[in-house]
Amino acid sequence: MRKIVAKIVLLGSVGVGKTSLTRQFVQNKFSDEYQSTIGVKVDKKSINFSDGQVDLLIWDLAGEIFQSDLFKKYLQGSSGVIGVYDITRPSTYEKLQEVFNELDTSNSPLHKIILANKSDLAEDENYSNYIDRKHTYKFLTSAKTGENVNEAFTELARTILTSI
Amino acid sequence: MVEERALDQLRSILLSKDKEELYRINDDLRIEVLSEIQALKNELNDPALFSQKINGAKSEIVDVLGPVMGRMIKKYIQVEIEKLNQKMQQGTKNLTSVAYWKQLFTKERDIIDKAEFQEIMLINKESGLLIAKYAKKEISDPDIIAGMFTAIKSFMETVLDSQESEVGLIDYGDFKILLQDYGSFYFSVVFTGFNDANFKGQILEGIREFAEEHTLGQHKKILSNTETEIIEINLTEHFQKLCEKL
Repeated sequence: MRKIVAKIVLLGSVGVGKTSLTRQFVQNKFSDEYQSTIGVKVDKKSINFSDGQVDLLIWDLAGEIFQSDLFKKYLQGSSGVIGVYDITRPSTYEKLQEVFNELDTSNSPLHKIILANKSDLAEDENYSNYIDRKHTYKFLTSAKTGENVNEAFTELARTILTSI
Repeated sequence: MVEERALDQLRSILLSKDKEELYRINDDLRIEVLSEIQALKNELNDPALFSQKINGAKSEIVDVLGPVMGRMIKKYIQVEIEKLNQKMQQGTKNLTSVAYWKQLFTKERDIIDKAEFQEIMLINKESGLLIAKYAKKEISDPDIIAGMFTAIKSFMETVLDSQESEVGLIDYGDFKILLQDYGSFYFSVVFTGFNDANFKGQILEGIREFAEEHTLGQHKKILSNTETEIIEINLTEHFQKLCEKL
């Protein structure tokens, strides 16, 4: 059985719920203090498929890091990116799109998916209308209820495994 | 009008000789100043000549700078005496303090603590993916640790604005983490005890030997591959031998 280790990066503006999503997906072993100090926290989760195993090393980047030189450094050597935005704050989607557009022009062979987070708030008419009309995303997730969290990470892991 | 013209004529007759003399002096002075400037230029271009000139004027320079330098030296000595005095006073106070003796005892014990190797990891510098490891005791989540070391290293390099391959040492509780770059990779060596230069030297020598033996520089592509089966290289045996030597 094939076994691969892949680095993926989780990015999005401050407060979109990246860390909560990671918490839903993995058992955190390191304190969140690391993230506030150096702007990143690393976690790991193994996903088993019928044809192989993928050990995902998840680099959860702090929201403020977009503007810093560290952003590109932390992105180096990654196989995939999960972009997260908050459905209740449209500006977080716009910011994410800007970053993704930059990544598209950088010729880096990255697998990317966008998560529309805080689906538990989607019942609110205002938010659901906004999502349906304007935003493109792969999964509507909720770090609070766990909706689609495993599915999102698993799909990215599958894409990486297939591409190698 | 007629009077003024007459006066001008009279002035030019009477002062013609003075005028010529004035022009001559002016020319002489100009030539003298120019030759002085040229001489000075020559001296500045010739360090030996300039140095000779300064040596010749030593006493004048001392006279000018003496009072200023004297004040500076005096102030420096005063500060040093003050520091020495404070140290002596503190020393006397400490000798009668229990805390001091306790601290001294702990410090001495730390110094005596021999540096002890704990673990070594070979890590991809860009991705932070772990390539190989050897540890005396089982490491919990070495992949995550390798990632965190890489993040910390990147952070330090960015903050300190340094890309140079320098040996970095991180203090973490009782542990010391030595980071040593080697091309596209770096080694992290965790050890406890005293930060002993000899010990560090031996570790670095072991790393160099290992890197040369496995021609790490030529294996960038293979070692960057995420397939774990490919990247299992025998770090264990090499560092086990090194540990026995330490």
